[in-house]
Amino acid sequence: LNIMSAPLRRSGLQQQVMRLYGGFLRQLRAKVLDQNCGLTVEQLPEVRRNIRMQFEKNRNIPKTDFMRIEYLIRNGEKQLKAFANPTVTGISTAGS
Amino acid sequence: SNLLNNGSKSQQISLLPSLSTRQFSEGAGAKQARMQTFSVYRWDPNGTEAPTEVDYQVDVSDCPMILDILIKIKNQQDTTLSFRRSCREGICGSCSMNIDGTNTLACLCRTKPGSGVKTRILPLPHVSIVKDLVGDLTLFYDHYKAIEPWLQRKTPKEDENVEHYMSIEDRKKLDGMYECILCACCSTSCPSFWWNADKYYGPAALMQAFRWIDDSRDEFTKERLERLNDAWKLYRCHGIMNCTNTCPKHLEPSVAIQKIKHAIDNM
Repeated sequence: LNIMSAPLRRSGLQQQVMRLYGGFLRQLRAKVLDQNCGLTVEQLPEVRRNIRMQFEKNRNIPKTDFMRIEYLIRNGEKQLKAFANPTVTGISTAGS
Repeated sequence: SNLLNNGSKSQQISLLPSLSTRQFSEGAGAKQARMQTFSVYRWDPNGTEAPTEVDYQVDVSDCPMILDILIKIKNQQDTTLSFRRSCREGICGSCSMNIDGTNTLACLCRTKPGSGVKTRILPLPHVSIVKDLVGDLTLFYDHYKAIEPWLQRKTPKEDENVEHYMSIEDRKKLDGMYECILCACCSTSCPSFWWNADKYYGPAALMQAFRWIDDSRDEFTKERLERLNDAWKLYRCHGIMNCTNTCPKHLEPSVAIQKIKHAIDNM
């Protein structure tokens, strides 16, 4: 999903992707601010880079391929929901 | 087998001599190969192609049920075919899919007789696809969670050391509802659920809601009914009856939903 070419209007699907990305970053900041979560400020840039990488991996999917984009959004939302759980202190992906 | 457990051979008495000679002449267990075509929905989220239906030619002489055929395709023809399955006996509810237009369990759906016939195998309708025949049932499970499928009491038990007692008549009221295996065939066959899957609970969750409403041991009946008394959660049901029609365990969710509506009327 090519979001960095600054479209005139973002489509609903593009907005959903950006909302998901923002959700991850917001959740990350909330966890760092909340001392009990075991995430330190030093780890912030690396985790931010990891989150960005996960989104960048799928940048080149044609924006008409709704099935795949929605599949990825659903997966991302599930991961975000798991991450938002107060007992979770970190999130990482193994493999590809 | 001619061997008894203690290792000695017993004499096999042949009551149908013609049958046994035929067996020996054809070779043990030899059946005529029956070829059928199966058109299976395929989609790989990690690829670039659009969803397609791929035809597989399968010898179904040793496959009494559709699940046997899917496993045979996966073992012998295409290992990448993905589908859910577990018990292979119709009790776990994993292998629910749409076979020739009907939502059933693949392990309970018989192979068609004869050869040269075509069967169409699709995932459950109007469900987001994870891969091939595997659908995303998250909304279905969320609705089941939302009805709070556990016993809720206000008064403690008379005796802490025994279970909650229930008369035989009260226990009979649960028959036809407790057997639900949450296979999602019914909810996914309901057009109302297709159009409002996020808000309408669907026949499976509603039948389980009534299972707890009708449970004589549960003391939160009024609250359960009030929570369902909503234009979206319950009253999207318009008596389409696809659910009862398609249930592979021959249960009747539409009857349970009617009973909920009656109970709310009489509240």
